[in-house]
Order: sequence, then C-alpha cells, then structure tokens
Amino acid sequence: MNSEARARAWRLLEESVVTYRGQPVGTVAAHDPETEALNYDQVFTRDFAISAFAFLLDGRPEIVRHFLATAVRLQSHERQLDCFKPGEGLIPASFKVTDDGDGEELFADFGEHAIARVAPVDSGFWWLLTLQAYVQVTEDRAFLNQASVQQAIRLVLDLSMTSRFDMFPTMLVPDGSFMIDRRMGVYGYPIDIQAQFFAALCAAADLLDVDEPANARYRAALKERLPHLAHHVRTYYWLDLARLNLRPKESPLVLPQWRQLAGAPLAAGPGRSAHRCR
Amino acid sequence: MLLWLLALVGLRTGADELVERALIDAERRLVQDDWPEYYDGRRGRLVGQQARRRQTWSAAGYLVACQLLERPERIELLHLGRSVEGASCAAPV
Repeated sequence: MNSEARARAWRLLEESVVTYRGQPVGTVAAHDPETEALNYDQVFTRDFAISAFAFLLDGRPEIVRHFLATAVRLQSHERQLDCFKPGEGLIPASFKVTDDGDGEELFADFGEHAIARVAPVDSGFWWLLTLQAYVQVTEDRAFLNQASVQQAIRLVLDLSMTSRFDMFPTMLVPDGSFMIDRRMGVYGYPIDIQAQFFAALCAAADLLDVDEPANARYRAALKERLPHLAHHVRTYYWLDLARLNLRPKESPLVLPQWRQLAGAPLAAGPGRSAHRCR
Repeated sequence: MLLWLLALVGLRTGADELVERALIDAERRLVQDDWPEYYDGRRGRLVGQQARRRQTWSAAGYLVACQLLERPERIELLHLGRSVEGASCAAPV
C-alpha cells in the first residue's frame, strides 16, 4: 500500500489521542475545525474500537487497556427507575476529558448529546469486541479477570439479554440507537446490529472467567442463546439481489465473491442507506 | 470506516485481490479528500453529503485494513463471531 497514505493516516490517528491524567485513554472522533460545534471532540466507544484494532496490531496495547478500564469506570452501575438516567450496564456512547481548573475530569455521554438523544445499543458490544481483541493480542488475563471487568461483562449481558420486551433471540433496537444516531426509521431488528450482537455474545462467552461462580448462569444463557440467534438470523433474513442493485455485467468479479462472502443466503436489513453517523 | 471489515471478511474468504484493489482505490481518494466519513452515489464517487472530514475512524479503518492485508494471519486476532453448535429451533412467528 501507499506509504504516504499510511503515514498520513497514522498522523491523523496520533493527533486524535486523548490523555487523562497523563495516560492515553482514547481517540477523538475527528480533527476538523468545521466540526467543533458537533460532538466530535468526544471519544466514541464505537469509533475507538477501530483505533484500538490499529494500535493493537501495531503493538501498542496500553491505550486500549486504559480505554477499556475507563469505560468500566463510566459504565452505569445503578439500577435506575428514573427515566432520565441511563439503564444499569450501559457503556457510554462517548466520553470526554474536561478541565475547568480543578484538574481533569471524565464526562460520560449515554446518548444525551447524540443527535437523536438516544441511548446506544452498540457501545457495550463494541466494548466487548475491543476487550476480546485486546486479550487476543496481549493475553493479559490478569486484566480480564479483574472483578470489575468481569462484572462489566455481566452488566452488558444483563442489559442486552435480561431486560427486554420481546421474546425473540434477536435484539430489539430503537430508532437511532446505534451508528446512525438520528431517527431515520432504522429500528426493529437491523441486521448489522444482530450480527454485532452475535459477535459480542460470542466474545462474552470467551471472556467470562470459568472460575468465577457468578458467571455460571451467564455462560449457560449464552450457550443456549447463540444457536437460537444464529438460526433465527439465517432463517428470517435474506439477500435481495434486486434491491442490492448489483449488476453482474459491470462487476463480474465482485458479485460472485459477495455471494460467497454472504455465505448463507442472508442479508436484507431495513433497506435504508446510512448517512452521517453519530 | 468500514474498510477494515471489508478486509477482514475478504481475507477470510480468500478474496485477497478484491481487498487489495479496494484499498488501492480507497487510499488515493481518502488522502485526496482528507479522510471523509463516507462516500455517496451509485458508484461511491461523491464525498458523502453529510460527511465530515479528518475522521479518525476513516484513517483507523484504512490502517487496520492495511495491517491485515500485510499479514493476513492477523485476522485470527480480530475474529468476530464463530460457528456455534447446539440445539436451535425456529422461533414462533
């Protein structure tokens, strides 16, 4: 690949690093003077997952560990009946470091400042996937098996598996509660979230400490849930080639390969295009 | 910002050539357009209407894709999901 492009990309990534009390804890979403008025000066959990992969593959896991621990600290820890407070187990959509003269403070945003003012269903999943990648690369089980980290995993599972209204293996998603955080009619059971839900549950199954008695119930629930979720998505989602608008004549290479990538005849989704995210 | 996922899936399914072509095409545009969030239009030739520039995840997504293409064995480190075994039944409709 073009080394100049890579050098520029690394520069942009390095410039986006945020520190908290001397430690790198994440990357801001954008470095663009035009976006100052927006909420791009925050460390988004979903954005950082990709930065985390880049740092991990580059042999720099520290920023990822600090991020993971920061998210655990900021995770909502109280069961709330107050509708204006985040539900227990929610990992913030984003956080920022502020300093009004009395030292640096962390401020978590659970969606209150997102464009659609909705809580993120995906941030807990991104946190799990980031944690899994971190553990894969570093084999740092001491961090993983800390009581606070194991509890954070259980809280994410409580929120996404226990508290619910419907009785399907899939996850019910409110409009605007994920990457497209504005209300665009993308709600219900969007396939990208189901795929990520599946990946996150697989990650949780690997990450829960087998020697922790509190995890037994969760491990059993995951073992039961994963095949149901896989079967449900494979059965009730399909690939609509007409709507995908791929033309075999124009792209003879791409089409067969995408069919192959899809593996099973699935896809479909809500059929809306993604616009600006966050 | 989805380039990393394209690379991950492409390399896993042996579509290495597709990944390389996509990256060569993307890096030229991303640098030229200063890392916008997404592209628009039928063939993805337009910078997204609402896209902001200098997006961290556009740069990070490109870097991860390059890191994977360079050493495809790294896809094992970012494995997302897996095949599952166990009883499943059709959910009631």
